[in-house]
Amino acid sequence: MGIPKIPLAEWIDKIVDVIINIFHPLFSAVTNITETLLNGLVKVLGLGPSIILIIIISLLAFYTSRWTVGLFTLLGLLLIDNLGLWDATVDSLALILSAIVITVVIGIPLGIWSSQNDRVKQVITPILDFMQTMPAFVYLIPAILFFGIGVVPGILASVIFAIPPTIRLTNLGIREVPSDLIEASNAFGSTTWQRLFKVQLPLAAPTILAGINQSIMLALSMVVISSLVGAPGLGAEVYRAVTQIKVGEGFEAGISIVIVAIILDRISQNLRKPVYGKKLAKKYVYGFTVLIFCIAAISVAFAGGNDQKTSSNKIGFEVNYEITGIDPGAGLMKATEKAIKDYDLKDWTLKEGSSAAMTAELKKAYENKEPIIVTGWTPHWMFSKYKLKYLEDPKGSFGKDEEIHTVVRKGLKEDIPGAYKILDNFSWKPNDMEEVMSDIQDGAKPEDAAAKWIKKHQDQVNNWTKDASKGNGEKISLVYVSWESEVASTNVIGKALENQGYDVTLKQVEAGPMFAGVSDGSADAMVAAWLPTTHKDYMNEYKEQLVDLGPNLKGTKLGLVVPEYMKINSIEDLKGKTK
Amino acid sequence: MKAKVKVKNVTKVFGKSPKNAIKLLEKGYSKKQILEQTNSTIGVNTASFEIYPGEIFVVMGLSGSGKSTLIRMLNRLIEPTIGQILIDDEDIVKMNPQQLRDVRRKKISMVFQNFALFPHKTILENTEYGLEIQNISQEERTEKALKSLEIVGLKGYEHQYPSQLSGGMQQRVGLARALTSDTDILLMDEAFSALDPLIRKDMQDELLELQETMKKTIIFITHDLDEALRIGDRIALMKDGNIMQIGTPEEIMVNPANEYVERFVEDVDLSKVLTAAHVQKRAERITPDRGPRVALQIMRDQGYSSIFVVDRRQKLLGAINADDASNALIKNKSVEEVMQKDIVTVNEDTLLTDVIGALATSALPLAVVDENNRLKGVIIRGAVIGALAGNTDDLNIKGG
Repeated sequence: MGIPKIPLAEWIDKIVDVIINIFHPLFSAVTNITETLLNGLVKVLGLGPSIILIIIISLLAFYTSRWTVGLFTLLGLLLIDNLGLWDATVDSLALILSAIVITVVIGIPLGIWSSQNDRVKQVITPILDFMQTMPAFVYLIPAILFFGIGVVPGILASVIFAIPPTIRLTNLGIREVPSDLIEASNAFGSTTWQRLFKVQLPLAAPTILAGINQSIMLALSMVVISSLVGAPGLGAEVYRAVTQIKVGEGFEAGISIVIVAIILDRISQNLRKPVYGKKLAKKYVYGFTVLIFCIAAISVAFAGGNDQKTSSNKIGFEVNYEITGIDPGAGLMKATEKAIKDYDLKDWTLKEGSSAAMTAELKKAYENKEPIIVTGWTPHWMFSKYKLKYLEDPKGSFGKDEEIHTVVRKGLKEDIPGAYKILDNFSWKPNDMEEVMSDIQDGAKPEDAAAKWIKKHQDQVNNWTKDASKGNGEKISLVYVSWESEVASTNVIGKALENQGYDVTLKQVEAGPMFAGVSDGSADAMVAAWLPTTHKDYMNEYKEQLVDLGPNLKGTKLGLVVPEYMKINSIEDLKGKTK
Repeated sequence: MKAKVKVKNVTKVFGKSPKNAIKLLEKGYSKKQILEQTNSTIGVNTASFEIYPGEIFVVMGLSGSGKSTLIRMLNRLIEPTIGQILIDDEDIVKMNPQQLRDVRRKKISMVFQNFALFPHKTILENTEYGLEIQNISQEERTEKALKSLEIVGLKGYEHQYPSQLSGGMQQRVGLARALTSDTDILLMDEAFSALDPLIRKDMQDELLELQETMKKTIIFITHDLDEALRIGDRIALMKDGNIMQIGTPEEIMVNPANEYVERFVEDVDLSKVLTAAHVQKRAERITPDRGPRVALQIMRDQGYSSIFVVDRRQKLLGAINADDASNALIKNKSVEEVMQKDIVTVNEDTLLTDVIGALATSALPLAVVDENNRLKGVIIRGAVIGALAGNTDDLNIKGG
């Protein structure tokens, strides 16, 4: 193969970097607008006891659809409330509604434009195809870089994913208006706008509403995915349940999403021709609903004055009282929650996301010399890339230093003693690990970085393998979580095993499945168990079915991490002094 | 008379290279050759004609003949490729969008084949659409719209929706909508083609009736020759984008300009076009004071079996046949005593359809009389049959 690989990824990265630099103010503005919209919606929806909103939504469902749907809505929402998922539901509803507001505001004009202009349609159509087929996860990556983690990238990714049907069907609906009606409209001397508003849009309305209905459904399906970047709501509940393998909780959150989906679908489908539309004029019912929300919005606005966090705590004010976290299932997150309690940081919120999202946030803040507080751990490449420091933890909320253990399935020792021996011998130092991580971060493939390290440290590797029998193509599967540290360690040990003649497969999973996999024998080993704190819950749950081969790396550390330029040294400094 | 609409050398080419097509067209290439060479279709080829105020000008032709394209160029729903269209001496082809909108709002309104009513608007809202987009006050436009609805006989339906009305009623709404704009020119694009034959006829009659009072300039498109003959003051017959012949219904029927027109009109039921005037012969007549002997003599000379009796002012009194005349001679009675007084008469513009009916019930030839019962001529069976068979010897053609 004479043709070198086209560096597409590098190009995209460079373009994204340039975009971030140029459009930073724009992104901040978009973030602010979206956040304001969302916070307003959350507040309005969350105003008063949940039963009020439940009744309003049920009445709306009753009015638009059959009475059975109204009853289902009432019972379904009461069930959600009963399950304790109401706040999450309100968060999700607000996310969906914000996404839909933006979708409508952007999508319908675009649809109209492309219906009036064939060239615009030709340009937009392939873009829409691209938007719809590109896996939704991909949108999260630039969304994090542009808009940080939290709910805004979730909303914007939802908008990108959900907007195509609205644009397509608006365009289609307008183009499908019979040509003789267009001719008639023209023949009487309509201007383009008169034709559009008096003939095309009213006739295209059912199609346009069908598009919006589809957009709502797509936005809803993004709720779960958005939680990966820290959007709160039912999706986060599902995500947490997945990472912790909590079947029951996952089902509760899942069924809540189904209920919300059915309600939103039925209401939005029937908005135009409500079942009871003949008895109660549409404009009164919708007017009344809008009025209620307006009153709620106004009362929120007036009450909002008291809700403002005071600026007496400078650091807190600067970072918006947010600590940027990682995957909701991680022990580090649990420790941080504990720290928030221990240090009485009741004004603070811990944003959930992923380790990738966290480092992206950190990168963005660091480059702009903005304040940020993240949940961090060692070993991690970010310490070699940026000047960072741990906040002192006088109360010991994050526990003592941690170790990373090698854990294998029961019976591995008997089945493949050679591999077992190597895994048992595997141990290295944080700076070894950071060497590999740094290479990967700089763009090397994990397996290449691992091979490079092994070549350089052959003596050390020989220590792992010296008294182990060589393999003969036996299959070994290793599981790991996609933290940079674990990617590095798993690839190194994987490479070492492979060099000894084993057939190694690596599987990237979440923390819960990692433990579950090794305990039920569907995976052979992991070198990624953080103990005693981070994976404590899993270890407790599965320890009977596992064999803990002890630490392969000592000297890890967990805690809250800030850039060195921030004038803050201890978690105690975060304590808010609200007036 | 000064023309209301003048169409001068208007050509429409559909396709991507109209200029090439025009060049080829000027060189005399055929429609088919141009299609092969440039992939362009000639919609209308150098059409020129004038339409006078108050006339119903019918454009007729089969599907694909270009008549719809032609009518749509008159209000520029379709842009002419080249040519001039003068309405009240203003060339609408050169107008900017604003001027064109004004023409469409004030001068030309249109009625469509499939009614083209807005399904989301009530009958009233549909009817006042033309005024609504001119931002005329609600009261004024409602008043005008109601008036038009009354003219077309749809008073009381103003709050219904189009889907609640029958086809005929919907087309009346389409007509009312066009009338509400109060334009001088009315374009009607196969306005009655979507209606069933009975309703179509009613609508044609109503249109003619309306035209008596409104005196609009109506440009009417149809593919139905019967319809064209019925309502058209003049007819333009189109084929393949070319205008084959323009003339009164009679001229088209009786004097086809070429083989195509001839073939086109040959299947038409002549009895619906030709009138008594076309087939009447000079009538032999006597005054009663001449007596039965003279009557018999004339009959013998001319080879007739009967003769009409008129007074000195040519007013029809009756008819006498050979038997009656012989009887009178024998019994020495006067002509007036023996003549038959119950005579079936027709007018000059009675259609042949009706003439045939009367002919069947009458033993005598039919007398053609004017409004004062003065005898104008006679219709005999042979001439009617000959005329219906297309035998021009049996026809009297006005103006040649």
